[in-house]
Amino acid sequence: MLQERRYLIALGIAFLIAVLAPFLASPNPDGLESTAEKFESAQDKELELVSSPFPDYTIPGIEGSASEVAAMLIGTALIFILSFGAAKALTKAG
Amino acid sequence: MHIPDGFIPLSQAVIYTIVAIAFIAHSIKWAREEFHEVPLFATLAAGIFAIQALNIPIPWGTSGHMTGGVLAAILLGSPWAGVFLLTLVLVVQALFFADGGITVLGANILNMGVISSFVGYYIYVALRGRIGIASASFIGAWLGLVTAALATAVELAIAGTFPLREGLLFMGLYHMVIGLVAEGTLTALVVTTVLKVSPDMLPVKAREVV
Repeated sequence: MLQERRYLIALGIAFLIAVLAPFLASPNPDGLESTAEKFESAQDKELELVSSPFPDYTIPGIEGSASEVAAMLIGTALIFILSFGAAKALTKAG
Repeated sequence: MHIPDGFIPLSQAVIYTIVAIAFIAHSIKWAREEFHEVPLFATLAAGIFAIQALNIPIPWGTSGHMTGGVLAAILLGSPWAGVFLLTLVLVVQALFFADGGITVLGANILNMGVISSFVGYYIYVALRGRIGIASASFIGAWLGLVTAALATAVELAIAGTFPLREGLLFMGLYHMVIGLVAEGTLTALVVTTVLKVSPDMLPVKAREVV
């Protein structure tokens, strides 16, 4: 199989994970959050210094799962374009 | 294990940022001199961003996700690939998704990008000739994640946010399980699959077995 086709399949898998993640991901706190919950010294310490366009992988103003799916699709596309661009620029420079 | 803003005082966060910048600068140097697989890198970055949103439940009401630095390092044949890729992912997560703080971005890059990638990659390289690629990538990714979690616990203890002993205990325990069910398993699965179906996509260095 051509490399191009295999990359398309791999990228398709990445986008599939992105679309499914909002439905499949565990809502439980992660390892660091669970650890923080145990200690008085970690309470009320978290700050929100900047307002993100897609806080917690949602798009403000859109309701429900569509909001999370759209945010994941935007994020995955953004990372692909950004890393492709950065890698291309650097390898060309070298 | 994305540290949020506020968990590390600015004076300490600055130090982690400076150290992280030194590693990022070297990863850029690596990319300029030794790196050619642009489509592989970008595809991996997209996949790692997506899989980081897929939290897998573990016991004790907790969850965790793959971080991907070791996978990138193994497939691109250098720990610097993990540093470079995780830097891009963590910057986008912090700026656009409020996942991980801005002031602690350096600490997060140091833990998940640098420490995890280096520990995991060199364990993989040391073991692959003896126990095979599947087991070596599993153990490398697992221990890379656990080491990064312990480093995070130490940083948060210095910051006065976690007590040292209990912080190490819980961060270590949770990430030992997350490393088994997510990081280790998925890294071994992707590495063995890519080596089997698409070895020509990988740099020569990533195809060596011993």
